Amino acid sequence: MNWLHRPDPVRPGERSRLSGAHLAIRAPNWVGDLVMATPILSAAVRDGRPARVSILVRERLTGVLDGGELEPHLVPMPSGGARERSIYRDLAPDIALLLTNSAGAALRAALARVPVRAGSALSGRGALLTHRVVPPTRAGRRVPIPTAHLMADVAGLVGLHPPGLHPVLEVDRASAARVRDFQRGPGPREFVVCCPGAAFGAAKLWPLDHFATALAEIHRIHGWETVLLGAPGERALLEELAARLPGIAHLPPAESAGLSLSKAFIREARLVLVGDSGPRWIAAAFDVPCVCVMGPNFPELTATSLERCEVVRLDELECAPCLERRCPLGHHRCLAELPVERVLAAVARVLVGPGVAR
Amino acid sequence: MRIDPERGLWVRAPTPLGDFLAAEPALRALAHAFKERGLPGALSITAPARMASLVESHLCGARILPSELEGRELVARLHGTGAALLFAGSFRSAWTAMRARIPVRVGLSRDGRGLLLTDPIRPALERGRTPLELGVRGRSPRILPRPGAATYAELLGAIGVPLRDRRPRLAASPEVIGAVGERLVACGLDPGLPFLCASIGGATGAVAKSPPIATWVALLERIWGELGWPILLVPGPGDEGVARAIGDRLGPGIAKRMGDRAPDLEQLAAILARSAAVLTGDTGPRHVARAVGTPAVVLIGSTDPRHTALGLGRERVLGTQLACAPCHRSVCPRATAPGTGAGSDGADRECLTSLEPERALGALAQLL
Repeated sequence: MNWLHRPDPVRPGERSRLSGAHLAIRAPNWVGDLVMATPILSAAVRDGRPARVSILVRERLTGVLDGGELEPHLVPMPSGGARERSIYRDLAPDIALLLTNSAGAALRAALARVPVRAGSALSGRGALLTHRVVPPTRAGRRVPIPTAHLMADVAGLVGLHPPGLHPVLEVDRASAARVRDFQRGPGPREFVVCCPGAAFGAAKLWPLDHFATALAEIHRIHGWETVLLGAPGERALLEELAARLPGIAHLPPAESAGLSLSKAFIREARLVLVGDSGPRWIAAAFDVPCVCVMGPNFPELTATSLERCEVVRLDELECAPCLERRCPLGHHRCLAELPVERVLAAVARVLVGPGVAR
Repeated sequence: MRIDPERGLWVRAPTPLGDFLAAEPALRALAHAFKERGLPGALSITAPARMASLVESHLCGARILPSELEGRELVARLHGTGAALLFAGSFRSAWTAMRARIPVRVGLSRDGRGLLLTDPIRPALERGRTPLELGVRGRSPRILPRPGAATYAELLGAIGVPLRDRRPRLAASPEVIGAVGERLVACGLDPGLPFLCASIGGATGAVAKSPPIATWVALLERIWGELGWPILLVPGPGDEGVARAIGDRLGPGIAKRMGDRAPDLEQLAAILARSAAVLTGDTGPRHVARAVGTPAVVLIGSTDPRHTALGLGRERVLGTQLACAPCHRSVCPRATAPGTGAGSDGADRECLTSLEPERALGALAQLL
């Protein structure tokens, strides 16, 4: 045996194998990251080696994963660290695979004495993990790499290897039927989905005037009307945008809005026009052409599933990417100065883009 | 693009076949980016000639510098280039870029070459206990085993070029496809019926990557018994004798061979494209199968599966957990040394011999 390849003694109570284990996967808290994680979640439930797979996901996000093979494995988590810890204690998993990067998630798994805790060594939480990935660095600073790559690296620590990075989602029957009814009734048969909001913060918002101009032009060229989607807290924003697009914008009723219905609308859309937010990834899962306007973020962090998606951003700004939730300089140039023409050119390209290679 | 494309870019592609094919989408994306700017000739790619010739049509007029070109001649050709992007992890590639006085040099900082790079990226590391399902952990400093395709996409991102199509693409010329078709018929394969390709060996000098003859025979007999498909034995260079021995034991009713010589790379691409499925070790033909879109069952033993994960959905990887794996040795350290028997327990390639034929059959059934 090569002395540099050392066997690692298995400690009492610790598993060295995935086979026969109860695997608990702590899913990400952002919609986009959760959709990106779906290849790993699917690989886990299809793997056959774990005796049981539990997917711990925030209660408000369960709609992202409903309607498919993942649904029976979901363990909804209300907000609050104490609740999460008690869920771990009730489940008593052998392995916690942490697809979030927060210190709190690692701390709660450690406090619940989960024997194997695998995750990225970010947010100063390395000491809380039994297995960890240190992402690439340059001059001591983290190099931005796609979040999907990092999650796949982390999954590899517990012996899970997703076959690809393409996200996989399902739509439940009820939501699909509601979209069909919408298309047959008040709504258009062919439409664009636009999600102008961003849960991250105001810094990710493209000005509504720009959205309105782009959507009006798309309607003029293709005849497609617009369905506006967003989180419940973004209703006022959606109504304001709808007011600028008289006769061509539709809002699903507030009481029926939700992630399940958003998935169903996006699946049927001809195009998705979105800020740098979760619906971009839902579009990727259904291979729907998508144009994403990006401001304060690193494009490298989301540089996967680009087969039918184009990210439009201003490259030449010295202040970007700042990763701030509000523009620290107050001018918000990264999005305010992003011209509509560039977005429309990207729309033209994604609509004639190459086929999907997964 | 975060470099000045007018000043030119030199890309050093990796040399092993599997790594080169993993880098092909990134090379293609770069070539398109330069072509879009009207500067196709400003991109220079150093790659093995036999590999580069197969993907040259995807590279939109980029200048190919065969990797056989070395030393002063290569340095002279690279003078005046504005940036170097090093997909190859060798010290020599960084040294060449420095000698050519390329002002921007981007690559992974490993094996002591970080000081030669202007943008050294320290690779991801693995910390903590041995990863689950593996017997041993890697050597210090425990660089995380990652798919080459992911690393190349990230290096591409570092110079501001997005990677849209991640699937490697490779195609033989119509002439070679035609000639291979004729040879397949000549060796007894019906052109209208499916056949399974068994890639024997395929990693020069790395005996530990391919199962022993008895394991191949047991696997292929079981598959033939269930599917009834003929099996084409395709050896890698140097493994012709092994393929012959397997063929002799299986008999001509089951196993077919296209002569005694290993096919060249282009012929291999044509053969794999015609196959219904491929059974292979963790070797170059696995990556060729990916690039031509043929489903593959991969028998993985001495290597860490994370190096080649992200198989784009048409692969099933079979492995077993042993206390000695992954050893990353070319020859199994547990094989009995000829004439001595010392320093080993005689369990040659147990990581591969312990794979049950039923698992390979099950994996094939999933893919087909």
